[in-house]
Amino acid sequence: MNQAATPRGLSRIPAQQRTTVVLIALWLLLLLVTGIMHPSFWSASTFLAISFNMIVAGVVALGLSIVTISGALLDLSNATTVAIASVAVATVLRATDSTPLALLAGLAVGIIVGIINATLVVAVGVNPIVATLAVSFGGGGLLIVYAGGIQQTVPLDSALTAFGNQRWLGIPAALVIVIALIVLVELYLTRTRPGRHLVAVGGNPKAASTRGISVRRVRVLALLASGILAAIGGILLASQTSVLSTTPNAQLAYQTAAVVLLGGISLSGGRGQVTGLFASLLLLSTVPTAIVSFGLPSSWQIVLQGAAIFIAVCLDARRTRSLKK
Amino acid sequence: MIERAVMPRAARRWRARAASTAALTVAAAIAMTGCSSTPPSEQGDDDQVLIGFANITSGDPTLTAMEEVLKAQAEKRGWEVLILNNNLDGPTALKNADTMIARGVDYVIEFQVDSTVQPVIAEKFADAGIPEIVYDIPAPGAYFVGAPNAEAGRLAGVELGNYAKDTWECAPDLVILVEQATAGDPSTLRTNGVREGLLEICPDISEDIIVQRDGGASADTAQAAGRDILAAYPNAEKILAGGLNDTNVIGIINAATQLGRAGGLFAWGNDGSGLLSGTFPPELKGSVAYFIPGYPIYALDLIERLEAGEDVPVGDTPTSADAILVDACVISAEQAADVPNVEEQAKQLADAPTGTSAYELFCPTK
Repeated sequence: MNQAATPRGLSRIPAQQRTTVVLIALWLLLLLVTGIMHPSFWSASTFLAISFNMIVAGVVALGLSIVTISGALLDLSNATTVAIASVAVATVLRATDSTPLALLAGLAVGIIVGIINATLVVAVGVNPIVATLAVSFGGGGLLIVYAGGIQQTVPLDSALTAFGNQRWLGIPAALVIVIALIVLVELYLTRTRPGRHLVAVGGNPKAASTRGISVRRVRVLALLASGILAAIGGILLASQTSVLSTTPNAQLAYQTAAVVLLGGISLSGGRGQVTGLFASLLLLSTVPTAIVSFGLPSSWQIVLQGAAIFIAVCLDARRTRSLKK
Repeated sequence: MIERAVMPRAARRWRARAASTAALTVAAAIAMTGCSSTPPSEQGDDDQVLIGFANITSGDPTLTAMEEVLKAQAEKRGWEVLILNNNLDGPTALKNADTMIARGVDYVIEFQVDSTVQPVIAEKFADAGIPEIVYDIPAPGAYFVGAPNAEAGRLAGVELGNYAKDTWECAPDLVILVEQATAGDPSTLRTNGVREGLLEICPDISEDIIVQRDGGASADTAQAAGRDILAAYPNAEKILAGGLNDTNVIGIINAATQLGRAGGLFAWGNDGSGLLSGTFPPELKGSVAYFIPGYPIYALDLIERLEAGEDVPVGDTPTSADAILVDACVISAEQAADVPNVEEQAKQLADAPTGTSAYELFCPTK
């Protein structure tokens, strides 16, 4: 970031951490203002609600961030993958009563979608946005054909449902899994050679290729990881919701895009930290809860998400221009 | 309002035969829409009533039951039925409308999801002089047959009110009403109905504790909305939940379970989809059902009146005084087990004397 344009206090913070610090500060400010105006906001229910809000959006945004950091722009098939994986889990669970089989079915959906996306983007050379959008429409259509638009139920007495409502040390067990995945991805990107290759490919694919890094391999792995993480999102959704829609949740796609972009992950690839993603997730998962406390209509949530994407894209463009200078 | 001039049956059939010179086009349309599950005799007899039914999709047991009831009850009257599949798709519904006009149907029953093409379809049938009956999604100039949204909501609200009165002396801490903004008027009518029913029994409940919000179109989106509402009222223990449908209300129950606050929750759904599925959480204490397999009974009664030459006024919106609203049935969770499944409902409705409604046959509280 351009030092001259950076406020004095922020300039002392390492450039990579500024987004995270700003987002955490905004989150604390939101908690403070809402809590002062509506003291009941500071309650165990609020923090539990925020925690549950973070689960599916968090794991899906994590997959999306890997794709974006690798320079493959966006994966727009994630919401569809979540829907198909959740329905696959529910179907297998009802048919076999076997949680391991149901989990495998859900993960298989993510792997298949990841392979299709990777084939279209890397082998065929289709623009990632177009390719994943096509997969999203195609997958959504197949889901309607399969389920006939009829909602799918998850057995209420299943181990999966018990896990979905379980808490470890007061935190939803599913969120612990999501946080663990976020930490693993952060370590992978910053501490391992393949992870650094992924960032390098996203930053400058030509330079990375010159250094002997296989750009194609990195992009395949990124799209595969995105598919698998979206499928885990579907599994976690099935663990928490007893009635599953067979229509992809478009709102989830906007929400995860907002989390990734506001988290400072650059659309031009190669830049962004998973800690920023977590801070962004925390902030955007708190907004809907605060909106209800203020008595605002739920449509404000969409307005604020749109504003977040707008601000994030503008800041990203500014940062990209600064780096080019 | 579209002017609807009913064309004599013979003239309509003649026109259909003329149209069949484009037989290849029609055949292609039929092949593409995929659909005739009951092929009536080619163009039918001039004197025999041919009813076209474009069903919302195929494969769902409830919709299959609806088709079986229509066929059986039409057969009892000596009428033929042509069934097409709208495949949850507006353009397919448009093609099916062309197909039905080309086949020379005398009456059309339209059941499809895309409200934007509904007026276009209505205009096509109006131009062809074919009376149209629509299920649940209104169309200009078409006879509306559907759920009694406001009344169904009111009945659910009365149940919530009765529980609040008997258990909490009409002093709940929180009332959660979830609607679905994208569903438009039916959602508003039904959810406002819940509020009216509740206040009918407990008029002193403060508006401050009634939270009416969009819960989206699925249980998980309603669940997220429910979590946020419960978080905004952390001290609420005596909680009532109602809304557009069972799916939304189950979302609220799931949210309360996640936050460990389902203990003081009393929920009453609407549409019966969750309650009669056999898989529902114990906090869902009941619902208001409309018995969708029984819709054809109302449509066929209307057609019978039209065939008799009666000038039946068109109620083309759910709020019109002339709209044909199915009877809503209040069912508690305990009574749900006594209501037959949709396959059995279809069988009993098919065997019943003409004009016997599902409400009369299956409603435990009639």
